[in-house]
Amino acid sequence: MAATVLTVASTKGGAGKTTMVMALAGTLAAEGLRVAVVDADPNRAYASWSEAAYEGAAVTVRAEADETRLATAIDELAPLVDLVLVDTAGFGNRAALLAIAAADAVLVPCTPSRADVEQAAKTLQLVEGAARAARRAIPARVVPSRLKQVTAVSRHALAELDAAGLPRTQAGLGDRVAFAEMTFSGRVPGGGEAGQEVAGLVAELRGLGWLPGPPSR
Amino acid sequence: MSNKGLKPAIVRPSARDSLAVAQAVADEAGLPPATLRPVRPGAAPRPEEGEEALVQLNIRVRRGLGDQLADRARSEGVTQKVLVCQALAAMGFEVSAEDLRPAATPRRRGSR
Ligand SMILES: Nc1ncnc2c1ncn2[C@@H]1O[C@H](COP(=O)(O)OP(=O)(O)OP(=O)(O)O)[C@@H](O)[C@H]1O
Ligand SMILES: [Mg+2]
Repeated sequence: MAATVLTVASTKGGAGKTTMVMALAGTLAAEGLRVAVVDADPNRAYASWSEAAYEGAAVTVRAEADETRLATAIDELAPLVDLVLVDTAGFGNRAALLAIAAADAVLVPCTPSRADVEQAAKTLQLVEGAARAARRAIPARVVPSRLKQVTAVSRHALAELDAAGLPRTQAGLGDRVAFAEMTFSGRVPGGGEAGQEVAGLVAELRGLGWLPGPPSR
Repeated sequence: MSNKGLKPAIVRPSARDSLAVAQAVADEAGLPPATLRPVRPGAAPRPEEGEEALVQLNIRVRRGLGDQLADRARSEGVTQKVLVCQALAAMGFEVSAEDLRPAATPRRRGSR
């Protein structure tokens, strides 16, 4: 049975894509799932982090920024694992589109800023374009990222997403030191508020059928 | 086997299918190939070179674009100039590493 392919994309740089991939991959691998991450960003942010800093359950990593090789990498990995997560460049390049075209579902992280909300809408349009060209549904949701729970800005951004009719997850990742620290420590938050947020996102994505269930023991 | 997730109804698209789809959408949207992505500042895209003469470049754009540039520059912690230079590099222009550096380079007074 082939893996689920979940692509994390946003044409906006710094929206929190790589952070989300780090958190999801580490958390799901810790559950015992076989997880692969394909780093499609030519800057190799995930791949170098995983080489230099990551401390956690094993995750298979491939870095392929060329779209042809990326397509092959996803094809090769899918039969071998439970989940393929694809991290893309915040640039809206062809590799990102390939990752969208090859995905079962797409997550679009979006921080509470006007530029991010606009770019999230653009990213969703690219997903729709790919779905049309592929003649299949490619479901996508905006995932709130770096939310400062209590601020008016965050509430406003969420309201803007909803007003624009952009589908979004209820769960999201807050703006938390634990996520920023993860990039240095290599440790994916397993507990605390950050860990709970990741668990909430995992649960919601499972409810959507976008993630494989936990491994049977 | 550990995969109990709800499987998508359709069979995985082949690499060839995905490539064709990406190609079609990229052409429609005018997206650059991945390989044209500028190298991030710090990765030193070009070897150190002798100091080149500077020219001043002022551009006037619609407010919407100006706002986007300002937002993005703030969120990435770089100057708007760096963003513009990254975009130019992505289009294939030869951009000096100095122009892709995140912070304004301190004047190297007296050096050379
Ligand atoms: N939830 C969060 N809480 C705190 N810091 C965060 C969070 N998400 C992202 N960051 C920080 O914001 C910065 C950008 O995040 P990240 O690298 O994940 O974005 P990205 O979308 O992958 O960027 P790019 O488009 O450049 O690949 C990083 O310094 C990261 O540590
Ligand atoms: Mg990234």
